[in-house]
Amino acid sequence: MYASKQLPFWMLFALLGLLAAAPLLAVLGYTFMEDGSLSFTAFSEALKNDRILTTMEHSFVLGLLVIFGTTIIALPLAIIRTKTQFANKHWLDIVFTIPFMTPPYIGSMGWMQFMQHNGYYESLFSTTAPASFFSLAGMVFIMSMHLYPFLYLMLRNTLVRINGSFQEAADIYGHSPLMNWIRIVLPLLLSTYAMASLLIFIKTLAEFGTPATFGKQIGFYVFTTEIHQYLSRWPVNISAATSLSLILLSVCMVIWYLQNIISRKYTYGIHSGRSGISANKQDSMSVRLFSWLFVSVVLLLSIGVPYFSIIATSLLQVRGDGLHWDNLTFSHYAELFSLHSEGFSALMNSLGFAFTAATIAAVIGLFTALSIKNAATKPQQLMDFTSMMPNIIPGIVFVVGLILFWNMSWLPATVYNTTWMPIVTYIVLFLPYAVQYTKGSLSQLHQSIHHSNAVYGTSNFIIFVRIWLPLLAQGILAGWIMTFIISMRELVGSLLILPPSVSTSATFIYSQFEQGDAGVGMAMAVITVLLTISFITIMNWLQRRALTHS
Amino acid sequence: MRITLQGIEKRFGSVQAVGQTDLTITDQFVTILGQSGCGKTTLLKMLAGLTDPTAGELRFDDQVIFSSKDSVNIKPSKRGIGMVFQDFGLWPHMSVFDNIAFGLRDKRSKAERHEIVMDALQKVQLEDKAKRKPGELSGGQQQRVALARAIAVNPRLILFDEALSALDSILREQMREEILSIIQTIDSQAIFVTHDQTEAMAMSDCMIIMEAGKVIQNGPPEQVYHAPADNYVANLIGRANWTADRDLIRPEAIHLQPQAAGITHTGIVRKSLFEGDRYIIHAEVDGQLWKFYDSRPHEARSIVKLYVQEDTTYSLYKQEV
Repeated sequence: MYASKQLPFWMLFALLGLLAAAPLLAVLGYTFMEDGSLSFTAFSEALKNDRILTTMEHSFVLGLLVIFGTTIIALPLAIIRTKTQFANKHWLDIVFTIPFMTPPYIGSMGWMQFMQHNGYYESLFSTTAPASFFSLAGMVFIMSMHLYPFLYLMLRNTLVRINGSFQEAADIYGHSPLMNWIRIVLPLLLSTYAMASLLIFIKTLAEFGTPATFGKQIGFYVFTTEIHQYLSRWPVNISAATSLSLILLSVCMVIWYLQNIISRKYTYGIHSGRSGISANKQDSMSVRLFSWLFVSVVLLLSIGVPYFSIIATSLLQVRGDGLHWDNLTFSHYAELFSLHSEGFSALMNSLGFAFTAATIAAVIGLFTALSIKNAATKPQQLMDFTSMMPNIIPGIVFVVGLILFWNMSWLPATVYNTTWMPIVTYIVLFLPYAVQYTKGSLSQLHQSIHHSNAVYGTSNFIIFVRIWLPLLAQGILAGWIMTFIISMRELVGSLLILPPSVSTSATFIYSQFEQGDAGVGMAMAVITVLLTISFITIMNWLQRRALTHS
Repeated sequence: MRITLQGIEKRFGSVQAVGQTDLTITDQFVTILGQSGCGKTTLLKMLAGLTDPTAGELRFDDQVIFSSKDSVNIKPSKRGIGMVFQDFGLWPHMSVFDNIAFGLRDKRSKAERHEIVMDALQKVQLEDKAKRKPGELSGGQQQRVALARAIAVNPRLILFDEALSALDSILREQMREEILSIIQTIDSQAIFVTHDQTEAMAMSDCMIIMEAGKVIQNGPPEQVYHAPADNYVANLIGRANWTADRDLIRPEAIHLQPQAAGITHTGIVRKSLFEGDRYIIHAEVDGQLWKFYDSRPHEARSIVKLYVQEDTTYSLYKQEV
């Protein structure tokens, strides 16, 4: 009785282990096992390798600078959005997520086309573009413009929560706004900032898109691009790739652990409710001017410029001829949508892979969320952790692990070199989204639902079909959409694991850009972004509808 | 202190949260009673300076605190007030001591601050919790700290925003008495916003009753109870019985024995509910449901004769004429 009741749980656990844990074990095994015994030779050699040390240094410097860059953008934005007239402009938050939802390689390509010699900067302003843009500073700038929304949203949420009775109590008992800010707002904000900036650091280390495009051009190599190089360029050096992956993995685990300590120790139960109407005071002229200017400049640089370049390139017949009406064409789009073209099959592949991966991930995510419940027992906590691992560990590490694991000679069957490989990869990489969204809508339900099921439910099947599916549908769908759109644009995994002569929209854009034939690639980028935006709009609409219904 | 509101009004966009209000408050302990969304918290926040009125003038004695006409708006921290919030509003990163001492910074020396804070903590019986963080205290203790923080600044007025609604009923009753006795020992007035009518009646020298952004009645609790301004107030405060002529009779004015100069009604008992010290009897009288008290239960469907003294009925309509 006991065993049969627990069986589905352990089967699900085994599946998650196969998907998420096995690849990581494969990386560990490859690095530390030699002829069946423990060996540190490969790893210690890697640590002595100058090239690997330089890579580490590059990654860390980049991470720290991007924290700095995103802070300069996000902190003022968060303050403007909570303390000035902008407090009521909720649509801004949707606009601010656009840079974050734009695939980093597309944003980076946009900036490169804008600033390069003969680029749009030169044709718009008729002066030479500053060559100094193509430097580490430029790379930090591009990555900060991509990642700031993440920091901004976390800071803003904390500020909004402080805005309630904490702020009101400070207004009544405090004597100067400056002292209130230093002694109350800042300390309460600090833990959020520390956590968010650590996550920014991890995200920077894990990012592939910008380093692979901009970084490659300026010769600035980081973890992700080096791992990619070791695996994709002859002579292939798997052991260097796994050692680097392992270092990257360790760094991320340590930072994630630090992040957890901070959140446990310094996050206060901020339940200052009824924040309500904070910005009823009229801003002074200078505050208004500054905030409008700041918001406009940030939007211009993070959305305006890159999207201008991408759209312009996708519409220009000959890029060198500059921006003229008679240079406009829809031929790139036409090529993309003509059957049997390379671009069309790449787009169809992407849609197909993403659809399959998102659907399977949604099913696994639903059962995982239902099994984890509120993570009361140790096995449940372990399952929670396993399903969340791909969120903490950079995608490229998983990709390396997946390649190693699915190439193991003792496996009875393998998905490697089939079209199932990208699907499995996407499922592994984006499973946390499917689990999280479903867990989110599950946690919103009252505990008494479980009790009602126990008392009135006649069978597990009926409970599942009549209770869980309808109640969780909105969360499952949100998770599905999220998995779908990020699978659609995934680059690094696709570059490494796609079977020969199969391409996806992401690899298509990348290879077109590499070959310098950007028009069709950028048309594909526009399509990708349009698909993303329309799916996010649907998701927002669904969430709003769910909110008004409950 | 005399608190004067003249034409105070608050709009959020096109929504009128508080309509033009004229009010003078002189009593020591005043409650503002009303259902959620009636504008009572907005009114309180305007007194505190946390929300600016759209129009009107506000004075503490002769000092103008806010005036839309003369563009006067004294900052909350300069109004000489304390405030206790529904969710306590204690800063979670500071100790209990620092929370209470915060309002005294730059005003008093360190030694004085220590003395004042410890004195306030003693008043709320939490001297031994000075070094704790708010998160380590129970809800009732946190509410006491919030009260100590308010009295430490020696305010002329303390504002309570649904201060007891986060506590359970036993604690709430206990805190009610504590707040009353503390307010009486210090030289301060209090305005207490609540949606709980028993709380409002038991605590206040004067009640202000609000509905849909308007003050519909204000006066001592006894007056509000016996001579409510309208149906809404009559039903909000205490139990109300209505005659066929729409006259109000409170349950305690209904007797089972003949009264001098009384009117006799006949009723059919519906049910008797035990309340501990007495039974509350539901009976149908002239098509209306009446409630009255007795020391023993009555059988359902039995017929009762009810005697009401003439001077204990209150007519809302005659009042209006």
